[in-house]
Amino acid sequence: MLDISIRLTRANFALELSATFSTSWTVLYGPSGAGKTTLLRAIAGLEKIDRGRIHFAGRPLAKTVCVGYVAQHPSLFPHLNVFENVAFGIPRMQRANQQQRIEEMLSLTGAGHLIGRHVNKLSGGERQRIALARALAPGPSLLLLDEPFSALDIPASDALLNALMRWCAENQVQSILATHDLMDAFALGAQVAVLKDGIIERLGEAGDVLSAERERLMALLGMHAHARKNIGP
Amino acid sequence: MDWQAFFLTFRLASLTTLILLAATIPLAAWLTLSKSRLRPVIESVATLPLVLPPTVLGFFLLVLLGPRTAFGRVLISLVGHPLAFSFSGLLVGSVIYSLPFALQPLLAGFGAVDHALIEVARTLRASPARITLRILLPLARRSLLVAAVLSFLHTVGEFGVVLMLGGDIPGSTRTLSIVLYDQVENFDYAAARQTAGLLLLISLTALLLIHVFGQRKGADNA
Repeated sequence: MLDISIRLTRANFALELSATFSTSWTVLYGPSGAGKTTLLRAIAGLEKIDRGRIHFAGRPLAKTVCVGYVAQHPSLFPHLNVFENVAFGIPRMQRANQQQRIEEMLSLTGAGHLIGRHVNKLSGGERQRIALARALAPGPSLLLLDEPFSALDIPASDALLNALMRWCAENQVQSILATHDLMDAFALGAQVAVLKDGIIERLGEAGDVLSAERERLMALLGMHAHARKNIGP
Repeated sequence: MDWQAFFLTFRLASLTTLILLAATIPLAAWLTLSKSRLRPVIESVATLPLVLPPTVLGFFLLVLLGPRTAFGRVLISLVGHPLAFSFSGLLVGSVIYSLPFALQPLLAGFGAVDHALIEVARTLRASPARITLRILLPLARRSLLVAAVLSFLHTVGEFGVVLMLGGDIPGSTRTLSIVLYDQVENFDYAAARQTAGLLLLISLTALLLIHVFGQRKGADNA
């Protein structure tokens, strides 16, 4: 269970929220600029917060808790190949176990065939798969995903997400996924947090929380259809 | 050709380069990774030898390393003899004098590494030492080469600090640049041409090394 109560200010932006993410999967839903990435980065320890606390499983989310973070535009180490990139987070593992672990994670993310490849020769989707495998390899207790499948097509994204959900359930990993896609939010979320202008507007079950958003979008679609009809051929 | 001075200069430049790299790699990495507020202060102090006249620096070091200061007395008790007019003193002076030539290329090289890579390494719980060894140094190899070559060449060519701090003691503090000065002073232009030619050759070879080897490393990274 992740318990957050933080305040963070930047030049033209402030993030102020208190929330408890209690389910195994939470979707952070909101438009671009709502603060999803900043929140994930703050949880990952990459953004300094002005005040507040972040607790995981009842204890401060210190460096002792292994947190996996996958950014929207994954940065792979350009001087290392795929194997070495995934191995970076598990340097102390015995060689045979490390090899097995890396193969397992690459297979999970559908990138097993890329193991010896140089990262400069990978597509955007392949890079996202490697970044995910690299974040999973150390066995995180908390997984933070910032629109991690944006470079994949819908079938590939769905297949990868299903495999990831199974793996997280088996390994008792709590996950938070940021998205601006309503379909993703519906498909995934046992719990959805709607983020807007740096605050959590609503938090709860996907169906309840997103119904207002669905109605807003339906109304918007209706307006578009009406406008097109009036313009006519 | 004064081969004794040649080997002394080579030894001094090699040791200075090794000490500088050992000191400046962690310092540059710390300044890059920590975003410390002390950075402008440390950079200013470390760059001071670049703008100070070598004789001024040599004079300060002569006083600092002498028995009249507490620092000098500690050093004398550690080494067993006064550092001024000795090879050890010359080494201390060379390290300080060439410090900016090692630090600045490293800071520039480490600073050019994509910060997102450092953040990824942090989320994978890599220590600063591991980030330095596995990310910063491999991606800033050319800067490391530049730092090493500039430190070496700057030490080979130093004159003012050597003269102030080391004097002109054969086998102990007489470097090639001092030999050249002596040769010109004695109107021995034939010998001076040889010494100056050798110094020119060393500098040119080292700079060629940067351009040829450095470009190849850059191409490897691309």
